[in-house]
Amino acid sequence: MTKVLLVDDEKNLRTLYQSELTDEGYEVVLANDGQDALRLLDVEKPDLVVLDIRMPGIDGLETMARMLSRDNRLPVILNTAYSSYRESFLSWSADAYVIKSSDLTELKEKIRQVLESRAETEKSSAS
Amino acid sequence: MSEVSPLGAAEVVGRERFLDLLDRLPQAVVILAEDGTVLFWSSGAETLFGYRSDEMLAASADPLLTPQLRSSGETARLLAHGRAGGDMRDFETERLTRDGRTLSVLLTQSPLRGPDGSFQGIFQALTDISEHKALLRALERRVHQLSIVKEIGEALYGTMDLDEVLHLILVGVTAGPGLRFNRAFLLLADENGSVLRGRLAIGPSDPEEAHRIWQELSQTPMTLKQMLRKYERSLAETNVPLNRIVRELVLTLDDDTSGLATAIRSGMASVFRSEEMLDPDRDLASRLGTGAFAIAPLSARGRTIGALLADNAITGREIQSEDLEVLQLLAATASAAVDNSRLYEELGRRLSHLEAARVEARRSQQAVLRAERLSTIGEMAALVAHDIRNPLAAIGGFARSLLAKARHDDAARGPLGVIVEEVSRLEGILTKVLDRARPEPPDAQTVQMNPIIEEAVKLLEEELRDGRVRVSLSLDPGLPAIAADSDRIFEMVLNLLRNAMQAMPMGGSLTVLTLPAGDAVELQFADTGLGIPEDIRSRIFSPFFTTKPTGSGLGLTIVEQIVREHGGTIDLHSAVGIGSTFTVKLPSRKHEADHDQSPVG
Repeated sequence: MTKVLLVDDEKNLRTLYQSELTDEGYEVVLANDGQDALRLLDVEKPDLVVLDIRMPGIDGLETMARMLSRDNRLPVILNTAYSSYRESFLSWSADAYVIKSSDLTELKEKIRQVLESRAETEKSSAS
Repeated sequence: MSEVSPLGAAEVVGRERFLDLLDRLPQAVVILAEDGTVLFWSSGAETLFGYRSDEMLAASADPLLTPQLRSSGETARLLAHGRAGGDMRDFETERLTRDGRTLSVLLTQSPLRGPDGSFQGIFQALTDISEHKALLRALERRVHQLSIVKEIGEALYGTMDLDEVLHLILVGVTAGPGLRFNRAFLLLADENGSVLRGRLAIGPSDPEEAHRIWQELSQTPMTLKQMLRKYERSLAETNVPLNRIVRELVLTLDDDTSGLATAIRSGMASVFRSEEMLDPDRDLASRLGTGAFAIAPLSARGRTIGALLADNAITGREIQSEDLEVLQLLAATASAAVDNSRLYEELGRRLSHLEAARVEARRSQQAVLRAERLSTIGEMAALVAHDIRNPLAAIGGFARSLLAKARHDDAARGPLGVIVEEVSRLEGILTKVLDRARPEPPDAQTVQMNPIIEEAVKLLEEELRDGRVRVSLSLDPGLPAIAADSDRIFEMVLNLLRNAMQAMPMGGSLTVLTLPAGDAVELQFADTGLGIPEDIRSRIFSPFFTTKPTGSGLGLTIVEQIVREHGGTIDLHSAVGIGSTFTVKLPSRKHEADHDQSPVG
């Protein structure tokens, strides 16, 4: 089963996302900040990471950067309340940038797309 | 010399045989009696001088003397020398042939004595060295020319200023060793290359000045550059007529009716006489005001770039072929120098363009960066968004979830639907509001570095202590303020401090220095850490580049970005095992009152 690591500092949102993404058929691992996320990255080895940006301690962008420096093929989706980070060049390293909403359709859709295109590139590089 | 006199030798080998031997010598052998008449005339002498033996025997040898030698009485002198018992070896003199040619000859002679030892005459062997002399003269001339070229070359070496180059060339033409020409004019091609215009002239304006200058030059050997100094004064002050003349000189190269233009295009130096000229050349000649002048083209890379004109307006001396040769040589050297100088100018122009383009590009880049980063307002808006959006997402999210899972007859569907709707509305408002609050580029504040550094150090106090990093601050109290975004500067300082800490995992000392540096302020962050090896140094500012086990690799990238935003520079000095020093220079704010000046604790 595809494992998704979801990082958000809001407890209620974590609960919501876990419920919804599990319904979609993913195995969900939760982290509540950047440090936690990095630790879990090694332990759980997720197939995709969903990251909030504004978090205490190291923010989502720096967390993403550190994750990518460990494995630059790791699919990362930024899921954030901020629209202005879109213009930051750092966010271009993410596979997708989703603005947090009560409607999770976009997030679910992006997760699906990113995983699908990764599977394809893996297939073509393996052949 | 053997004891036996030549006549005695004749007795030894036999007279006939002896004379036969003399005859076979390649030199011209002549024996003169003590009264100067010819006793013997070898066939070599016949061939060389063109007089037969029977014509010369018992006759005077005077016809062979040039008028000059005759008047100086060379024969008498030679005889006297012989009588006194002297020999002569390789005496250089001249002789006339029957057909009027003057030969240069080497004369070797020895006195003849009779059996009783009395003086009988002189025995002469003459060798024709005319050809050698001519070659020698040509060689000397060539060496002389090359030394002129060499001296000009040396003077031009390292001179890229076009005017100085041109001046030196003209000095070489007129005042160079040998004083070839009285005056010289330089014409250069204009932009489209088809017209030559007078650019510079050098020379005395009248005979008095000429005499004075040449007198001086002949007495004191000078280098071309020294001569130029002497000329410069006279050029600037007195030589108005010459300058006026040169500015009027114009030559159209593609004018087929102009003999001058044709000569220049041919690439050869030539002499022109004013009286033989037709228009349009006649006009130019009349401006020069001389009877004859020499002209040599300057060409580089297949194009005519100018011409050197020279005359003897003061002395009126005839222009020799040697003079023309020197002019041609100088023109060749000059062509290269002028071309180089112009290329150098062109290079300078291109470099300024490039520099201007670079500055422009940087300005645009800074504008982009400024638009990119969050402003204070933007950050506040972002904070608001975060604080409101998250709860909304939770509320609406759960409501949707419940709604999706509710049975179609569930009474809760209605209320849940309302919640979902209202949350959507709020989210819509947020998006609209936030999109309007675009981050404005902040006005550059007047910022004092020292308090920011102290604040940053205080913030990291615990981490520093834990990491056993000793911090010493050396902050110049008179440090000028900078025009900056204080938040960004704070971020920059934080990152530099963190970077230093990360370089000292076992602890160490970190020194922060601020000092004024011209119209900038300088910040130094020196650590006693691991140091950065050469091969890595160029990459440390790259995004995501890190050599440490933990660390994003972004800290220094952000630092560099902030430095660039503020128009500053950052430099790194590092030695492996000793430590690194990052030096940041930021332009200081000029003429503004420092409202934020706070005393350094």
